[in-house]
Amino acid sequence: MSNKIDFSKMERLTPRADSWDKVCARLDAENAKSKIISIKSWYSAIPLAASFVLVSLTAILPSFTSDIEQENSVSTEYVSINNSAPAEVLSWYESLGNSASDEFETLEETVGFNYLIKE
Amino acid sequence: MDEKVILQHLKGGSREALSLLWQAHSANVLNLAFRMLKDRDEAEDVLMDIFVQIPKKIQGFQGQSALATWLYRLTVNECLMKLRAQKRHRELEEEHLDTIVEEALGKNEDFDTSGFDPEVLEKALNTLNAETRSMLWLKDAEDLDVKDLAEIYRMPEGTIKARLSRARKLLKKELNHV
Repeated sequence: MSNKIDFSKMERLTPRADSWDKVCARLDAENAKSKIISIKSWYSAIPLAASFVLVSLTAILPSFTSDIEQENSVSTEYVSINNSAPAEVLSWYESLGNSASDEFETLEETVGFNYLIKE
Repeated sequence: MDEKVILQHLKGGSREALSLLWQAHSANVLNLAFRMLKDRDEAEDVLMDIFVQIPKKIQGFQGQSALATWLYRLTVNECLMKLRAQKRHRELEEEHLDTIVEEALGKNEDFDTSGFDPEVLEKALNTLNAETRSMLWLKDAEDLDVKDLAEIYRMPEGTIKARLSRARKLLKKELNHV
């Protein structure tokens, strides 16, 4: 093409010798940086998750404790001694505080012991 | 290595493929940047910036054009951004070029630039705006066709031809003054 500009005599540059090394160094630095950023984002996710768990626990915990209270109330249900103890123990129990001695020695040792274990 | 294979390796993050690309195209990128920025150091910076960006930007490259064409587009965009940032890009925008009829182009344009001193040619070139200068460089020094230029500058082929014609006329006028 006759109207083409002739650039052949103009200086043609070549990249400097260390340019490629600089590119590699920058790429390595970017890779390292992106790893740090991902770790940072992971670490910022941990407190977020922890606070979420905390809030959830705060919301759920009252219902758990009410269940536990209910269970406890069942387990501490009043049981009359009249229904579970033998007559000898009952008479000893009723006479407690009526004299200076607690009369514990009058109770047959094995009967008293078995009662305590049962309790 | 085949360009498709290089592209595949580049997308996989291969440093070796990037090195091959550097060997094949770094000088072309550097010279294009130098033609636009008129500064060797800045051109080197652009070259390095582009090759640092390639591993990320290549993921969006579909391979519809040649890698060289894609690299030239990155270079032109990077240089224009740099020029805008430096507020040095004060050259006038060419007006109404789209309306120039293609048939009117190429007439009375024949002139011989081979006899001119490179420095004189350089000075004349510098009277053109950065984009047009780069266009002329890619067309006449790197032998790209108008279709590639249309791809690089995202302009219709007619606009590219009009700009090239106008640039040659301006260059001729400048050289005749010398």
